[in-house]
Amino acid sequence: MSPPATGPIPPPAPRPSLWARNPPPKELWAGAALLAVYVGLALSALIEFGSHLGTLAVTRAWVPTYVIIGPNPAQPFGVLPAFGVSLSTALWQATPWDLAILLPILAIDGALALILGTWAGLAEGGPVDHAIGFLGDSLGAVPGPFLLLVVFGGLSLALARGVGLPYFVILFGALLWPTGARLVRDQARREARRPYVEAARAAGATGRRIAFRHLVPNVLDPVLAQLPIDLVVVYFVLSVFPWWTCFQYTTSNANLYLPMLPAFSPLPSTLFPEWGYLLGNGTCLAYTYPDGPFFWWMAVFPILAMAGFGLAIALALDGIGKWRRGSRS
Amino acid sequence: MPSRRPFLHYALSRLALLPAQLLLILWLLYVGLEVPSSAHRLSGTAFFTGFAAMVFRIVTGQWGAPSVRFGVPVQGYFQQFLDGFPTSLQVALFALPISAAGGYYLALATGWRPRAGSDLPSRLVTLGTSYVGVIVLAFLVESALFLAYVAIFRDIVGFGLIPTATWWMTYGGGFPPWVIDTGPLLYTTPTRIPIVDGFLHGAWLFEAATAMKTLIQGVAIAVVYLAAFLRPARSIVADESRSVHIWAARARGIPEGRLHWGHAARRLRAPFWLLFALTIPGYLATQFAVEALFGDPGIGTFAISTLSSGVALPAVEGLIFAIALLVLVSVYATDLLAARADPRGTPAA
Repeated sequence: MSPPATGPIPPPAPRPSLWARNPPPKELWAGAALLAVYVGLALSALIEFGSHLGTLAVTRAWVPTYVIIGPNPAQPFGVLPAFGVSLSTALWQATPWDLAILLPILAIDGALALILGTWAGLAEGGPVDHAIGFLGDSLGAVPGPFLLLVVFGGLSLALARGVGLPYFVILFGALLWPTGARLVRDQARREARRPYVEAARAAGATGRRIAFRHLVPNVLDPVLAQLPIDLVVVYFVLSVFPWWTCFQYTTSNANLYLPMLPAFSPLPSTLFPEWGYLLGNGTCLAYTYPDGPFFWWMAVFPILAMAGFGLAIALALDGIGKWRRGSRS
Repeated sequence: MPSRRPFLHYALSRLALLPAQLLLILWLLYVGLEVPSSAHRLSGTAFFTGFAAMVFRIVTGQWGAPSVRFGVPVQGYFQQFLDGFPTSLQVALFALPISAAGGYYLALATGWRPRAGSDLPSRLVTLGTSYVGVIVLAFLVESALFLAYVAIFRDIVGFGLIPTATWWMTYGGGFPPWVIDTGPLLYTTPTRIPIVDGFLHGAWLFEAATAMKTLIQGVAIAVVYLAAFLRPARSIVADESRSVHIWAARARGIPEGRLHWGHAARRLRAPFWLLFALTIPGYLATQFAVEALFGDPGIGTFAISTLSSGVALPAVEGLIFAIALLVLVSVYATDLLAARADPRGTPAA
């Protein structure tokens, strides 16, 4: 019988990294790639338009509403009359503004829903839970777009200097939280009863530590699911009200149409590049009377710009959720 | 000591919240809109009397009126709001059942086995909310309905729920006495709900036309609403499909169909009601936008036009209060239905 082999113990086979064990799902890659396209477009618009980023460049020959120019090699998305702009240029110019509006709104909305929902769930049945529930249910009784217009309108009237996009973004983010918070609260109260939270409590962890260190990472899913839905509310405000104002104008006298903003609009001027504003006006200019021709490009390309961004956000958030669940399993 | 009638106790305690919630909305309207718009500074006693005056104005229907045009008195905003109610009711009577039935069965069908073939359409719908899936689906369904309406009734879609003057000339030789033409809009008598009035007068072709027009709007609303509803609903169904009682029942040999459409479907009624309660404001906003888009003389068109113009603040305040009241009462009713379906999740237990 030969003696056992001596010598140095071979090193164990390297354990695959967390990334290799749980690679990001396809949704996350697709969402991130699509978002990167939008960010690239926004950065290039910043460079291209520079100090003129906030005003659409009007070509006077295209302004009359009887001048109809569809997609062609020179204007691939066609022309939006009344504004007198090429739609491809206008949508490109609007990209940095829309990212600057939508992303902070979603960030504020998600953060508030997460913090307030977790807090309420952890303090289930207590005064904090009741107060957050009461406030959220009461604010949630008014559809988000209408509540926002009321509060934003009041602020516009109160501040002599007028209010603009920054106030709009903060207010919108601060008003959208109730639905997300209610879903987070439900998950947080279930998580708060689980053994790992009991263990943390027994180990002397404070309420704040339990909430932020243990609960918040485990109640993210409802927020990830809710944020793409909240995006629709923002689109609603940005597109439906401008559409109505334009619709009222064009039905009275289409040939003398001039772009106009609805009451309490956050946009600083009638020639401000913004996807929803372009969609609202594009839809009514495209289809002003029922049996007339439909100039589809005026509505379709703004919708695609918004739809693509919404898809990017939904894919990215779905992917993050899936990745997190994979890493926990 | 536990209540002997827990459901009644829950219903009453939940009802007691309603006035407080409405008061909060009124206070928000006062501080957020009324005070900033006041020409003079409201302080001290005037601040509180101003609040009382606003509440009195809203609840007594003194919402103001548009300025007089061509010497003709114009209908007040409150009356316009009331006049819009029957039209919106007819739209809701079509849109709500389609949304509710679609949401319930589609979520059950697609969430049960997340990777089955039936999940693909749902993912297309839910992934995008108002995005690609909804736009494509809505476009296809709506196009088919539009074309069908035009082909069958030789009329155009839009301009409310009543067929246009051209249709009446073709089929009826003009408006019958129970359809009133006021110029900008048509309405029916005696109830102002077209489908009910058509039934009362035995106008069956009209019934088919108005039903089809309403169906087009109902489908448009349902498609957009479903996108928002299905996203959380599917994950509730998926959670349920992995629950212990389903595994245990499966181990006992209960057929999959019975597990799915019997056991799970029954248990999911309560969370679905709660989810519906959460999404009522979103549903209303969708219906309002669709009503405005189709030119219905309903509350939606009134709401969008009032908020877009922003000139009549009393009308805006009254409108927001009325919407809040409608939502809070609806949420209360759905909360009670959820508590009745499954009392374990509520204090009614």
